[in-house]
Amino acid sequence: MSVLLFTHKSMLGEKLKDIGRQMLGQGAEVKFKKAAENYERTHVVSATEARRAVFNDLMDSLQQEMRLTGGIDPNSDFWKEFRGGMNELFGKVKIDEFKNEANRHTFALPPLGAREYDAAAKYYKKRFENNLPNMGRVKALAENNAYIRGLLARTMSDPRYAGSRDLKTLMADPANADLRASIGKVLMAREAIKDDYRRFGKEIEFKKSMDNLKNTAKESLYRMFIGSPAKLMGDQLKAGMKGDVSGFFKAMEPFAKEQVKAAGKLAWAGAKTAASKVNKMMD
Amino acid sequence: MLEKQILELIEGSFLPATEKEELATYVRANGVDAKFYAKFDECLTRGVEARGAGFGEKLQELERATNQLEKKYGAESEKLAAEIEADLSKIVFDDFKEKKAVWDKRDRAVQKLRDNYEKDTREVIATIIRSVPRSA
Repeated sequence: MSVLLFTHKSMLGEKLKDIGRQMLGQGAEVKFKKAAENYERTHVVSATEARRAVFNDLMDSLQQEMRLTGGIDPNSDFWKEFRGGMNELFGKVKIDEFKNEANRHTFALPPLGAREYDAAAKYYKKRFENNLPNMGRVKALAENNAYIRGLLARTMSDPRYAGSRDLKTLMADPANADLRASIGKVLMAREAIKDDYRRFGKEIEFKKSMDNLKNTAKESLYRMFIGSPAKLMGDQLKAGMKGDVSGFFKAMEPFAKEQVKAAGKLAWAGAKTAASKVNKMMD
Repeated sequence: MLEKQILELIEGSFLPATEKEELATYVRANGVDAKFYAKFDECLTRGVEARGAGFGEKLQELERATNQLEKKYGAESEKLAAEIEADLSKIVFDDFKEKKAVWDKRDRAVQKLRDNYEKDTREVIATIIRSVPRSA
């Protein structure tokens, strides 16, 4: 009875701990842990073997996603789960060590074809409202993608990795510095991609804000020159004077229609509103 | 009643003070008749045409000035892009640490360029807006 109570209490404690971790933003880590526990139960393997199998699946899924989309989405669930799995398996401190180790190694970039560059360009267009960055960025995305996929495939097919039942022990072995480095490189390449997305996003945002600034200036000019006559038109219409001042109403027409269109191709909202107001007055 | 309303319209209009005075004097002396409407319409039409021309000119001035700045900063931005391409080409593909250092330096330069571009554009806009005659 007391043993059962202890087990129940300990399970409850673990559940509460998981909920707490999820609230602290470690949802992917908890998901990985649960998936590994589930795998362990259903496949009747050890905990370390189960973690290795689940991690393998995550690596595989991530590769597939990259192959299909041509990029890694910043909100990619596969990436989050892969990252969570890594944190759970190796711990954040170790992962930083992987990155440091990565600085001492270099891995060849797999050969790329037109298809990879095309996929990267398409990815940018899809993600950034049809905007395409310069070729340097497209090339960088295609190369980083190919590099990450290459490293994941290389790691998975490495006999030491493939033959290991315990990834934590495998990665802790001083002889396996290149394996740690390859994982570190994956993370760094991914950070480079993310930085490029951020930079391009900021570029688009800046362009929009400058366009907005110019359009606001045009709108101000419109208001300064045409605002008072437009108001007078409104007042005259209220007073029922349209026919008595037809020359004036006619002179206002270009501002309501053609001139506003020609000046900014109706690009700025304020002028559009003003034009539509004047148009309504003309009806 | 109509007279009062018309006088208010004249007073609140965009017409120059002399024309307002002239029109108001006419209404007070003769009431609102066909001759008044013809005169009022003529003044308003002339005023709108003048404003339209002023609007067009200022709009062109704004376009010219902002396009010039866009061209100038666009060229500087392209120069920065070429520089970073050259810097990156000297670095081993997967030396992400070194690449990041180059990008960080470039990010700071781009930010400075953008700040200056925005500042200059705002100044140009303010100058043009301030140059619009008060009567407009």
